[in-house]
Amino acid sequence: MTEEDHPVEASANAVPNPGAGAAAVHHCLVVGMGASAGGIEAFSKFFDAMPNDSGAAFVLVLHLDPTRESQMAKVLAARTTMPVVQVEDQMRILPNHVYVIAPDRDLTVSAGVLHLIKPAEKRGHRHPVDVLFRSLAADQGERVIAVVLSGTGSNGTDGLKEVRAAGGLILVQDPETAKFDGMPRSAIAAGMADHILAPEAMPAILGQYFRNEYIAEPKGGETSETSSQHLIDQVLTVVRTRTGHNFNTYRRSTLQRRIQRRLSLRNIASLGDYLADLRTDPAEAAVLVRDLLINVTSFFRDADAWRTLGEVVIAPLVAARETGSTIRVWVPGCSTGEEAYTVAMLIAEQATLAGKAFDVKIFATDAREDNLQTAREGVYPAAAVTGLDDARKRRFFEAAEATYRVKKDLRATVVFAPHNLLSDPPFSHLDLVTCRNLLIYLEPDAQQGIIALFHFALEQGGAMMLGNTETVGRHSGVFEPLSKKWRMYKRMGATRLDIVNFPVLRGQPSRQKPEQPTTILQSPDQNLPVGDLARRALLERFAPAAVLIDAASRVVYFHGSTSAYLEQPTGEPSSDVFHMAREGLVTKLRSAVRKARDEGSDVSFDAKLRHSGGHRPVMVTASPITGSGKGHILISFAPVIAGEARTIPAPPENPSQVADLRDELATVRSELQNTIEHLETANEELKAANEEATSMNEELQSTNEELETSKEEMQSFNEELHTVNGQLQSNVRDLEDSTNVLNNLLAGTDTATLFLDDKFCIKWFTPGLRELLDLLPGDIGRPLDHFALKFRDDNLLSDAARVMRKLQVLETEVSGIDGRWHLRRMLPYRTLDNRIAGVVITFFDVTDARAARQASTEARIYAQAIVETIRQPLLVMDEALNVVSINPALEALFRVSEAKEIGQSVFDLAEGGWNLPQLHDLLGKLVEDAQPFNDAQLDQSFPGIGLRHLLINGRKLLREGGRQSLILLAIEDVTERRRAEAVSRQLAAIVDSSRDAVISIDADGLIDSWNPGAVRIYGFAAAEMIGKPLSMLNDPGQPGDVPDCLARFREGAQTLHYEVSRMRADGTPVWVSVTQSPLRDLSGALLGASSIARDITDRRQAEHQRGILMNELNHRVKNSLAVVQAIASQTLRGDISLPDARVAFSERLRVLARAHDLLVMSNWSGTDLASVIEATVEPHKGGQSRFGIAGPYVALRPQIAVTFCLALHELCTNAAKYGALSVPEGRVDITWTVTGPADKARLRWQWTESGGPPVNAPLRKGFGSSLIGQVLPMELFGEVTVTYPPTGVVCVLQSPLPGLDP
Amino acid sequence: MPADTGFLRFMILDDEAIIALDLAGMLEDLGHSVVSMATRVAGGMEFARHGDLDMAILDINVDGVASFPLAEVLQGRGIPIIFASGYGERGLIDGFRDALVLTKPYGMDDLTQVVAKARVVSSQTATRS
Repeated sequence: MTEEDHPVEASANAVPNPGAGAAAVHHCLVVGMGASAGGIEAFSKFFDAMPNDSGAAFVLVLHLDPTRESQMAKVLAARTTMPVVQVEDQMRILPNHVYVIAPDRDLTVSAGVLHLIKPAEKRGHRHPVDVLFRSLAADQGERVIAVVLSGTGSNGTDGLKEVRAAGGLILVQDPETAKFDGMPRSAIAAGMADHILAPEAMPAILGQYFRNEYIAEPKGGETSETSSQHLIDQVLTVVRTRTGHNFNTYRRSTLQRRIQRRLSLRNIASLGDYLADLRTDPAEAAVLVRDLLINVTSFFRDADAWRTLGEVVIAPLVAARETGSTIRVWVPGCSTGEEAYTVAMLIAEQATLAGKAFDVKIFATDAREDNLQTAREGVYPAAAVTGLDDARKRRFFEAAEATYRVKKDLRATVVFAPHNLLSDPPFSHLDLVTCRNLLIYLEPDAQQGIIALFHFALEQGGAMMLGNTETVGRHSGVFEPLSKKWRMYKRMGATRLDIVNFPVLRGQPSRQKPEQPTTILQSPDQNLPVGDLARRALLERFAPAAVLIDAASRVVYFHGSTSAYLEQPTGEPSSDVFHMAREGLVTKLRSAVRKARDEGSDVSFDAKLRHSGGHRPVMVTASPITGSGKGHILISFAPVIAGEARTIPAPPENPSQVADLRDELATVRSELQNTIEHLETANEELKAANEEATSMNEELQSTNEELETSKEEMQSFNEELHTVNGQLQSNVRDLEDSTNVLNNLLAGTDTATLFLDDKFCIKWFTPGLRELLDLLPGDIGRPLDHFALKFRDDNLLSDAARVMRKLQVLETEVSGIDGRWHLRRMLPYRTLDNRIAGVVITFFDVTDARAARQASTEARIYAQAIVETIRQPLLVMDEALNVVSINPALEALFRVSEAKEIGQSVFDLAEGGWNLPQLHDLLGKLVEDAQPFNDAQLDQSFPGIGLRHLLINGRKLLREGGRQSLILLAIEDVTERRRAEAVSRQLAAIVDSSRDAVISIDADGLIDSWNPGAVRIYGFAAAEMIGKPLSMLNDPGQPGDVPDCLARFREGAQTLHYEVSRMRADGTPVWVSVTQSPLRDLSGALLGASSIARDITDRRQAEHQRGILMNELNHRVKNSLAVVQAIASQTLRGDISLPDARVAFSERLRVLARAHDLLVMSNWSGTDLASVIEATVEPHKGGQSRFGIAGPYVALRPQIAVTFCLALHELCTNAAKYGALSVPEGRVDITWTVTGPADKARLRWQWTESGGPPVNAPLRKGFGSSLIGQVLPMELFGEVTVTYPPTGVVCVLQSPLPGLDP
Repeated sequence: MPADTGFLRFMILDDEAIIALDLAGMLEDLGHSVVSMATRVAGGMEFARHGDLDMAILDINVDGVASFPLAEVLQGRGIPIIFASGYGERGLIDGFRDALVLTKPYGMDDLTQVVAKARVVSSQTATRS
């Protein structure tokens, strides 16, 4: 380490230390206490419990009103017997004293002396507690004790980090007991608290701590006993097994102090006990690791250092790189990432300035995974970024509540990885390594190892930044300082594998594998091109031995064999060329180098080197290397070979030695002269500087006086303000009360209220107004006419103006867009001094009231219109039954006029026509019981009007508000209806009783009435047919016979008449005679038709029967004529004279006619045998006894009867001519019998003549014999035998009984 | 097949025996012979099926029974038929609409003509068959 490497300590030591000796300072413990709001109470409790002989001093920092004198000291003096003083500058700290900060000052401590500083920050941004803690940590080191008590914000937390880093004790008030828990919580959240306690419990802990070895022993008094060392080794072993962290290379003293600290915090007496404790409590190992791995970091910690880094390292780097190229940075021991993000921000800023974009890779590594976790999240409390200016906060952070999150693009440039610098391989090809305040915790060997590692890891020319107290140590030869103050270095020289002690890669699979430095493993020679090889060979062969030194005169490069000129002196190795130069060379070399540096040109000198008993002349040349710009100088050594022997024999002792001494003296003189000149110059410069400083001091003093003056002024002004403030506060309280009352009043009424000032700008409004006007609290002060009204009110502003002018209250109703109505009430706004300062507008929702009012009006109009227009007579009376009103219908019905009747008794109405007992009854009940009645029937003959049938409804209208009830009668005159109903009943009876089908159809041809006659004729029930078309009845056998009556009626036909066959319900046809007539309304429009049908089936049958009869008659007549023709033809056949023929024919016709008579008499249904015989023999009877006729009843069919008549006539004629009837005594017996069973009955009929002349068989056969012999058997399917015995003709007929079918 | 002028054998069906006898007399006067006289359809059926005859004169309504079943039998045998009826042609039913009809009362001339027609029709039918 060189001297320049301790600027901080140097300045600290420079502070004057008046009074007591340094030892006393060391032994007085200083307890720094920070508080803010609620602090006085906490301090009081603390000092109540704190003994006055603890030997410690207490320095208290509070937020005090910078403009007021503090009473703190007085307050606390009452709580402790220790002296309490307000701090004055340069005050020595004494034990058992309490020091209270002065207002408007920052308090720092250095070397046991208190300093008051004017705060640099504005009021409100100050963190005086942080300032105190920081200075205490720096001053007291591990003996520092910090106490954080009640307060708001995060003041103190940053300072505590330094306290923690120094190894001090931190007590934090339990937030539960703190009046304001912001500061305690902030400290606890940052993991800073060693103990969390109530203020009154803190003194006990402090007492223990004070007595502890850790504090009691002064720093540096390291325990070197081997047993203790052994125990510490065991502790480290336990920690390594438990947590994997190896602390073997950490600085022993630090480790020991930290472990001691844990002992004291846990109140454990011996290391052995602690070891046992550690073994049983895993949590303790973690806490110990946390304490050992110190993390004190913040954004831009030592802002100047970072600014310098930006200017000296990053700006040139950015300038040299192309857009798109990679910038690689390593931040080992990055802790929670602030340093890494700081570097990232700097690079980003410089890149933006240069208008370039790079692929930035920042490897941020740390051994503690929990730190990395925090770093990766990139979320920091607001306190952490207080050191950043607003521009940086805006650009790199997203603010959220009380935290700041690193923005994504910045976060993306940083890679966080777990990495142990001592055990893991390094990264490589880096442009920058920043490793601040890490090496100090390590043993020197470990430090140097890491520096070498960084050298290796950096690119040629790459930069390194260390902490303020850290240096490159013995590796200064390979690093060129860029900023001595801020420990920035630049890598120089080739990669030196020899100095790098690579950590052996251990099996740690969970760790990210670091990048392998592959290229470095190759020999540098192997990489050289042939040209370089040749160049190197030439140089070695011909070039003189030389060294290249840098501006600090350190050798950075050796060429050739320089052992003849340079050697390493005993002691620590050094690269300083002047240290190495052999005797006889140093003085001249120093002079030559300076000259060469000053003049910028080569400077040569001759020198003689003592060499193994002789002198060897050598020419030394110092050549500045202008190209490098780094102050490099090449010093070459060339042996002089001037024709002499290579080794000049030593000259004779005396003369040559004197001459040599003279020479050397001269050289020294000239050197001395040079030096003197230099010193004089420097002296002059210092004088000038002194002058400047003095004058500046003068200036500052005058400024200070001015400030003092203004301070006094300010104080008096302040007093005034205090008084005013007191008054104002009481006013404010009153106002708050009024405001509360008003707010509650307005919230309670929920009335929309708007206050306008005299310019009609919105002064204030209630929340209820939002329904009418979209107003936000921010709209106060804006003119009303800037807002769209939610209601229709064109006169709002003009009305407001009128109210202002006439000072009257104005009410009007306005309608809202949503259909609601509001009563707008406007009155002047009067201030207390009765000034008109605007208008107050209130809106009352009157929608419902308005609607009710409107509804009642509408209801009245509605009711009136009904009464006027209704066709039913209406009568309204009061309770005394006097007429109140009558409507036009009543006037018309009873031919009265309302004007005349109003006020009269109802019973006088219509000339007393209403004076009826029944009405008295009904109305009496209605008035008394309010019992309504419906359809009360009243049949009454009214004078001048006649009989009327009336239906009456009565109601009593009860009215609210004690008004008289009304009696309402609604009358219906049903006289006409009754009459019509009677007629219609008669008609219906006729239709119902008619045997004809009476049907009506509507205009669509559908049946709408169906009488019983129709049911009878068609067999369909009315229910089946109503609604069906008439065509349902059509007989499918006779389609098209039914005319479309409706069409015909529409064409103008009046009646239709036709006969048609209809289909009955059982499918049989029925003939009906139909008459159809149109049904028309008064306008003649066709409504339908009536259809009357009469059943004519019987008549049709009779007509049919008659046709058949006529046909049959014709047939019979023709048949009869054919028979007559046959008789005529047969009569004329043969030889008969015409007169005889005429007689015979007419007699035969007469018989035929008689047979027909007989048949007609029996209705041509046949006759009987006896009757036929009686009728036929009648003309031949003559006397009573000539015929004997006897036989049972035998029925004869008409045709057989006729044939029988004809045949019997022939027998009679023949008997009259020739037989028994030709004489008077002759007689004929006609007998017959029926024999056999009923189904095979046979007839035997016999004609027997007797008493006549003797009979001969006839000579010729005529028509008569044909009839008897041929026709009769043919007709009767029998046999006829005629015999002629002498007694008379006998004729026997035997046949089946003719009544039977053949 | 009887010649146009040849004598024919007739069957007569008429429920009026007098008319049947008179018709038979008239046919015999014309030189023909009557081989069967029936007053009932049932009584004449046997002869109509199997009798030897050339022509038939049939009343339509025979004692309330229509003579068409018997006429069909004769028609089936190809024997010419003449209907004699008071109904005239109106008394015919389908199948016999074209049959020859002698409307009662008829005279000798009517009979002569209708027999001659029946001969012609019969001969045409025979020729066709």
